[in-house]
Amino acid sequence: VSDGPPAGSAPQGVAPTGVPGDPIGAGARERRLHPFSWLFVLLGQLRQMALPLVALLVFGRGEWWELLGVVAAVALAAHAFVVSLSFRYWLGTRELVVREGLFDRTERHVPFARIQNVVQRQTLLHRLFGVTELRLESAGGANPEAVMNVVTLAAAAELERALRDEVPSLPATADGAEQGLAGLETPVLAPSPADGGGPQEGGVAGPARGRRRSLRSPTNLFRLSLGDTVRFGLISNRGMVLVAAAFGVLFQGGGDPRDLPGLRWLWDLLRESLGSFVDGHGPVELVAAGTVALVGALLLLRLLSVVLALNSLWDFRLDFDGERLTTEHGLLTRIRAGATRAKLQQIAIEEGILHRWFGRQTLRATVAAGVVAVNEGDGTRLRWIAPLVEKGRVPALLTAVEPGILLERLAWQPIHPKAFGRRARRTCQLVALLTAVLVAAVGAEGLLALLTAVPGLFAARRFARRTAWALDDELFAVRLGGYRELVFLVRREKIQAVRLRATPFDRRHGMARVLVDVAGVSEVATAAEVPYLDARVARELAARLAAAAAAGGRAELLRVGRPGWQLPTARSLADTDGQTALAG
Amino acid sequence: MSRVSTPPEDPALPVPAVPAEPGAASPLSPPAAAPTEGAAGPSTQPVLSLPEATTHQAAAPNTISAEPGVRADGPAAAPTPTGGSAGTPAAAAAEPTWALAIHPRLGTLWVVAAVVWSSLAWLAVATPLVVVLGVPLPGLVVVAGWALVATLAAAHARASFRRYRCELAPDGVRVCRGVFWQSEVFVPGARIQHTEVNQGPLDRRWGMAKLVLHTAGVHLGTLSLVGLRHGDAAWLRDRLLERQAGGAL
Repeated sequence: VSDGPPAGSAPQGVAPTGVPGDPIGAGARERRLHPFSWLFVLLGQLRQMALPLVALLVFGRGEWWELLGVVAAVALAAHAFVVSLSFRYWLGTRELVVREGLFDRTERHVPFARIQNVVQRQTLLHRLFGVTELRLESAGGANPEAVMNVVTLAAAAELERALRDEVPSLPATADGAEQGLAGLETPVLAPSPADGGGPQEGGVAGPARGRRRSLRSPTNLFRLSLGDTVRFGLISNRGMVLVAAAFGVLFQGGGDPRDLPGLRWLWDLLRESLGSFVDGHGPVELVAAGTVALVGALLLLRLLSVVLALNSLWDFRLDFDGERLTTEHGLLTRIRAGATRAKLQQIAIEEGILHRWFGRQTLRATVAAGVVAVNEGDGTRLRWIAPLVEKGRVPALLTAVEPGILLERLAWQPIHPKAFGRRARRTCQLVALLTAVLVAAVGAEGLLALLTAVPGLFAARRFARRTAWALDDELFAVRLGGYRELVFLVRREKIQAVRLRATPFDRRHGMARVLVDVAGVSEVATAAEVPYLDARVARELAARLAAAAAAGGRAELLRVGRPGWQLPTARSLADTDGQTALAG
Repeated sequence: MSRVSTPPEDPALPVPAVPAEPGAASPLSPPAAAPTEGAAGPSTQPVLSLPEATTHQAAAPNTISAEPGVRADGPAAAPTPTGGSAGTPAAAAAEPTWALAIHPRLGTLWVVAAVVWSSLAWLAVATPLVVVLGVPLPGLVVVAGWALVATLAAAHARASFRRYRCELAPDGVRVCRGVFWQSEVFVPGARIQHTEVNQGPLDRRWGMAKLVLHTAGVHLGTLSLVGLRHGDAAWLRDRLLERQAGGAL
């Protein structure tokens, strides 16, 4: 194929990519959606607008502005109609091209190699019309690569056939699909060990079946002891989150929650007993009682956290069969989750103050999850390596999980020597501001706020001393210091993209920061970004990481031998919410 | 795989094919002939030019690196655009990094948008002050404030446009942007999941387009190259996917 923009000749069947609206060469293969597509698009939008519209009809008083809602609905319908009319797709030799939009036009090219799942969704209405919603999904990202809403069953079958036929080196054996996109491949609704024996087992195609065969019987890598489960509850403090959520729900109604009958009774009881207690005791006793009550409440919260942890992480175990990592945990609901080791993108080690107190660390995994896996929630996604593990066991456990990880051999590089100065200055500025506000508000007692500078400066020192990065043949590691310490471990070949960034403050001090991105859904919101690097070091590091990312991507493409998907030979239609998974 | 041996592929790299852009007579000239103001040149400027010869040096005081010569991708020595076959990784490494031409209208668009938005913001602040709170602001102050805000916004937009740079490296695409908060995002070509070329009504009128590269990443999942010429965007898209398919990237 020549490098020039295809001007109609479309060599080797690559779809025309010229000026939008110019259908040169496309006519023969161009496809549209089903003529009734607009209806389904509209229904999809109406589902979201149904409640307001009903409210308008029921409570409306015929005011002029209420008509605006109707006008908006009509405009929406018109827009849906026009957009569905403008939707075109066609198949090249190696890619699917989708063109849509009337004013804001988009032409999307999806290489076949990146399509790993073809998902059909059929509701009763779809079946009445003999159509289906088709979603083409890849491993990463939160959105499908393409959504076709809706096409006829015949068109869907044609598309599947074309996908299968036009890919030159489609792996015929289960092994090919097995390797998938080298760690990005996600079996949609394919039975992971989590749902072994599930209802859809019979309908899933051969490749998925092959995936279940383990290389050898699984060995146990880690088991969470009862004591550590309790400790995890104490550390996680999820009880606080639960109580906060409960308060949120209570007050969300807008009214006074005391109006609720059950709570009213409780509130009255509390007030009366408190009143009689206050009347009968002196100030010292009251302060003591208040302190006891406060401590008691905090203990109760921690106790609640422990109960929650016992329920969710009961008998946590991590197994490995040579290829696939599996976790299993839970008391009332037993959750099994798994991922092939190749899908592991990043491991995060967390160590807070309580962790340090107990001599433990938390190990979380980031796994490349497909769209459906994300949408379906946490069930099948591997999240933990170990919720809580003794610090001394961490290196061995990580090496067992991923032989490329050798924690002790990492050569940690410090950040810029002026990092402490910047952090400390920022802390002092914040403390000064806080003190000024407090002094203005309550007088000289506000000066006590100056004491907060002490833990702040300790945090700054810890941050500056502990924050570091390391790069070896296998691994890129970022350690973010502080009272809560985070370590990110990323296999070099898993890096998706690299960002070099400098804030105005960074530039004033000749610094910059480097972020690496991995696929999947992160369990830890913090990104693996090294802050406060010397600008030259940062640029050099970014260059090396970029090269690693490019090499990793190349290796992945080569290993997969493109394409990494395979269409199934059998379908499962028995899914409850009408989803037909064609797992690749 | 067969892509690698296709004759037009590699020799064409320094001199890629003509984009389907009516105004663009010369899609690419040798880097030596590249104009110094790559970002805002006339529409007949080359599609690609060596970044060292363009905005990179102009923006040197602002760049993140203290040493603009250290490039994130290539050898420190000035790369030669006549590097041999790109089919082998070694040869690919010898390829230079190209700066993609930005459509000159983009700068105008950004400035106009900045003026409009800052004016609206000024209205949103000044109107409640005067009408609701009854603050006695003289008309002159209102107008002067508006002029100041709009000028600052326009200057910022202008600076953003000058700093905005899209590069095609041998193994991926890099986008540099930001005036105060500066960033450089690199996406390897081999990591691209799918691409989009997007055009609004104004884009179509001006032959401008936005190329969006999607990766599987969490934080940098999409990389937008705005303000490319439409022919360039399509060319770049095809080239990236092409090389991906050929394994040469």
